[in-house]
Order: sequence, then structure tokens, then C-alpha cells
Amino acid sequence: MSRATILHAPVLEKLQAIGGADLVVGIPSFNNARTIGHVVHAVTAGLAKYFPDHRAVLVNSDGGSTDGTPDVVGAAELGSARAILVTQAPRRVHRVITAYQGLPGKGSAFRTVFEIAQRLQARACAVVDSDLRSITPEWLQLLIGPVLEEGFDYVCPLYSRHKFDGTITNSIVYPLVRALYGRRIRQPIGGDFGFSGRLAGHYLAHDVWASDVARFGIDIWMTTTALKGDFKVCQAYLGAKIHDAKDPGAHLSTMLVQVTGSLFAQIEAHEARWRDVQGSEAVPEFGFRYEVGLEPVPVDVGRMVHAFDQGVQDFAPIYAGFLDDGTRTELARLTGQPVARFHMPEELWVRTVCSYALAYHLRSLNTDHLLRSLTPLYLGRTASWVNEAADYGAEQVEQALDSLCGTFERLKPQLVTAWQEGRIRSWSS
Amino acid sequence: MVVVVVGSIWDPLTRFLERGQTLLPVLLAVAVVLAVGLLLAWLVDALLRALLRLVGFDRIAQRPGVSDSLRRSGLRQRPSVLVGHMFRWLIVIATLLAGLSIVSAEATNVVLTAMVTYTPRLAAGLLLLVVGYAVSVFVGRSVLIWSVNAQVHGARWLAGGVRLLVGVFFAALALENLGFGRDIALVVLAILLGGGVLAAALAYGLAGKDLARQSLERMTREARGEEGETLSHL
Repeated sequence: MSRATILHAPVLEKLQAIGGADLVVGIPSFNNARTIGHVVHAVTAGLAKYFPDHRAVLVNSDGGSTDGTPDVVGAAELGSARAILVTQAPRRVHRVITAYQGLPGKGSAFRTVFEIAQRLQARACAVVDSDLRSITPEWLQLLIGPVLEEGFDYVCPLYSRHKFDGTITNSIVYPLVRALYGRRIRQPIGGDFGFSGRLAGHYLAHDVWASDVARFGIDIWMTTTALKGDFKVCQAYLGAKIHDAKDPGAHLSTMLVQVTGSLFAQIEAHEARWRDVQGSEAVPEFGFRYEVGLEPVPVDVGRMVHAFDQGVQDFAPIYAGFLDDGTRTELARLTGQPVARFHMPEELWVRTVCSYALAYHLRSLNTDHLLRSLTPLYLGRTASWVNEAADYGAEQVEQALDSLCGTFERLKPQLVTAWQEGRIRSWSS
Repeated sequence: MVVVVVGSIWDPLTRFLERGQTLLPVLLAVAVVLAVGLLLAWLVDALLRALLRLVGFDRIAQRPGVSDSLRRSGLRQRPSVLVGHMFRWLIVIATLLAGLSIVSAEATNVVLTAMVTYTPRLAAGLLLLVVGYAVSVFVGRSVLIWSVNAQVHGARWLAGGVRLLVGVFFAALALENLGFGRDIALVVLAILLGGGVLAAALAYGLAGKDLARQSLERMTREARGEEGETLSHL
């Protein structure tokens, strides 16, 4: 192949020696020496148990770890026949351990995996995080199986999570993706995905590797790009996801900027795809659902409500630039509520999120300022959710989220109109 | 006696009327020029705005981000309005010069010469003020957002203070460029910076020592990741 490559020469030589592969599993890493050994065990065991007749390659795409992560991958024992209860010795899994090139981030790590998959002409691929503590061999079957055996192109993960966990996903990402793209993908930024070799090639063809996609926006980019390209999408239930804390020092507002910024950028790029979509439909689901015992999550609602009150008061001049009068008045009315009874109406939150998407599109404010100013409102919504869902079981949680998504879908036509008119307008119920 | 008195009044009166006869047409001409010029300035402003809106100038100007930059920096006028205003003021200045030239050609020359020599410095000064305004708005807003998200008490005061400091700094630069009020601007800046920092340090350290301790403890806990909350937002 003569085209430009991001792979190092030794990797190219190794790929030439391997020749081809049916399956490629990528593990992006950066200083994950403590946990990556377990992930490698689970992956190789899963490949041996569920895909014993397929040629498989495990790729560790590393961001320059200084704690010996690649060494751990190289030294990790492959899943033993005893551990996975098979009598036949598992087929050898090739390991490619390489430092990725490009901007530091998960996206650049994935790009290396995509290119290796394309060069080996893999039929199915999976990527799993290197800090997972709850990964089992079954995850491989669930992420790769639908691609190999059912002809799907993209498999999203579905995890059991505590009702107070994943609040950015639950209150912003899932409802917006569902309302705009019309597909009910419960965890669009789950982090562990399965995809076809064809889709890997499609990803590789995009010129996004010098943008935020390469740094932190790869998860939502993969999901929305698959939806935009009308690839066959499904989701697989993987059980609980337990992993190391991402970055305890990372501030919430930075996280919000990264997630909402990546999502809004995709929404803006895919306007033609979502503009005329009405309602939403479920995507096929694989895996056997079961109850999972989840650790309780302590939440300081008082701190959140205080942050909301201060934000609504102090950010009033900023909000005046892109929130309509009705929304601002309702937000102001919520300030000063007793913590235990604090409640942000569903529709008010939906109007707020849609206004932010619109303001991002209209460049009403410096993007970083705009997205950071969402922090107090998001904390208000989260506090409201914690109060509301205090006694909810898993089923009630999903019903409440369905209701929220329904409101997003109901207000979508107003968002489309405002988007096309290019101006902020009042929302009607 | 009467003749002497009448003569002493009549002579200056005659001279005044003679001077008035010469000046009146000049004053009338100045008034006409000013009236026509100001009317023209208003008309050009209105016509230009209408024309620019008609050709979609505001939309065109939005593309390269000109309009966005103006809005982000706090200037909320549409680009077409700004262009209209600019032309109006240019015509007003030209009208004033034309009026002056009717009264005295020499004075006009002096003013024009002064304007030619002073214009670059004036333009640079104005540019500094515009840039200073934009920077102060941006920095002030950044401080406000950071401090509110960090739940700092008095975030608005902090942001306002920073904005004032940046504004005064740029005003001092502009005055320095224009060549006057240099010392005053520097003194004001020094007082604001030195006095402000000292006052803030005293207020925080003495009056708000408990708040300072709590804030530092909270920051330390956050840095260690020891906050009681383990909510995973993603």
C-alpha cells in the first residue's frame, strides 16, 4: 500500500507478517498499568471462548505511558483454557503494541486501531477501555457477535448504572441523540463499542484527526457518524461498568464543555440528517438483562442547588444573550427554593438544552464561555433529578427518562424552526 | 455736546453694522453648509443602512466571523448600523471643516495640518480603546464564569474588578499613545492595582479568614479527589 500511514514502520512489518485477521480488538491506554492486565485477560479469553476459529489481533494503542502499560500488555498471559472452561487450547492471539501518532487523546488511539483493522481487512472490531474492572469474556461475544453473526455495523454498549450516575448522558446526550437522530441508543458515549471493518474504513475516510474528535470527542463522533451514514446499529447489554475514576481533578465544567461541545458540533454537521426525523424508534438489543447490585452514590444536593442559585443570578447578563425571556423568568423563579423540594420542570430543562444547541449553532457567545455557563443549570437539573428519583427503582428511572425524551421529541419542531430562521425565539408548550 | 455723544455712539454702531454686513453672509453660508452637511450625514447613514440590509450585508459579514467577533466582544450593533454610523461621522467631520473653511481658510489649514499629524496617533488610541473594551469584556466574563462555577462568593464583584483593571490598563495605554494624561493614568492604574490587591488581601485575610480557611481546605480536598460526592456525570 502506498498511501500515507500513521503507523510506525515496525508495526507495518508486523502487520505484513500477520497477513490478515477476522477480528481486531483495540485497547487505548495511557498509564493504565494497574488495570490493563485484567482487560487483556478478558479480551483474549473472550476471543478464545467465543471466536476460537477466527484469526484475531489485539491492538494496544498507547498514548506514551510512563508507568509501563505496554510492558504489562506484552507480558500479560493470554486467557488459559481452564479459565474459560474449554478443553481445546485457544488459538493464538497476535498482539500489536504501539504508541499512536497525532494529537494526544482517545480519538488518535482509535484511529490507529481503525487503520490496523483496515490493513488486516478485519470483518469485525471492538474497542474497550483499559481501566475496566468489570469486563468479562462475554463482553467480546456481545460486542463482536452482532457484527459477525447478525450483520450489524455498530454495537453500542448498554450498562447497568446507578440512577444518579451518568447524568450528562441521561439528561443531555441520550435525549438529544434520540430526538434528533430518531434512534434510541441508551448510552451513545459508553466508551466500549463493536463495529464492522466496513465502518472502520468509513471512519478512517473522515478528515477529523486534527480536531477535538482526536482528543476527547471520539465516542459521540463514532455513534453519530454511524447514524448519519445509516449503518445498521444495535446495542448490547454488558452488565455493570466498573472502572477507575476518569480524572478526579477534572472539573465538571470542563467535562461539560467537552461532551456538549462534541455533541453540538456533530448536530451542526449533520443538520440535513436530523432535520426531518420525527419521533424515535428502538434499536435491536442483544444480551441477557439481569439485576446488578450497585454501590450507593452519595450526592450533595444542597451544594448543587446553591450552585444553581448563584449561577442564575450571576450569569443573568450572559443568559440574556441566548435564552428567551420565558426561560430566564422560569429559571429565576426556581432560585431560593428549599433544597429538599427543589424541582426543575422537565420542559424547562429541555428548552434550556435546545437553546444552548441553538446558541452554539448561532455563535451567540464565545463557545467556551457558552458551554461553561451551562454548569449551574446542569447542576440544578441534577439536583432536581436526585430529589425526584430518590425512591425510584430501575423501571421507574427508565420511565422518567422516556418522559424526558418525549419532551425533547415534542419540542424538536420548534428547535428546527429556530435553527432554520437563525434566531433565538420564545418556546411554546 | 449732543453731537459729540451721538457721534461717539453712531461711529461704533456704523462700524458694527458694516462688519455685520460682511459677516452675515458668511455666517449664513456656514449655517447652510452645516445644515446641508448634517442632513446629508443623516441621509447617507439611513440610506447606507437600508442598502446594506437589502444586499444582506449583515449575513455576509457573519460568514467570516466579523459579526460574531463584534457580538462576542459585547458590541451588539449590526455591522450595517456600524458602517452607517461611521460614514455619518465622517460626513459630519467634513461638514465642520467646510464650515470652518468659509470662516477662515488659515484656521482650516491649521486644523487640517494638526489633524494630519495627529490622526495616526488618534487612530491608534481609538484602536487601543476598542481592543481594550473587547479584552476587558472577554476577561471579565472568563473570570465571572470561572468564579461562579467554582462557587466563589462575590463572583460578580471579582469579575467587575478585573474588567475595570483591564479597561484602565488599556485606557492608560491609549492616553500614553495620545501623549497626555500619562501620569494620571499610570497613577490611577497603580492605585487600582496596588490598593485593590492590598485591600482584597486584607479583607480576605482578616475579615474573611474563616472563608479563606474553608476555601483552601475545599481546594485541597478537591485536588486530592476527596470530596464526598462520587457522582459520575458521564
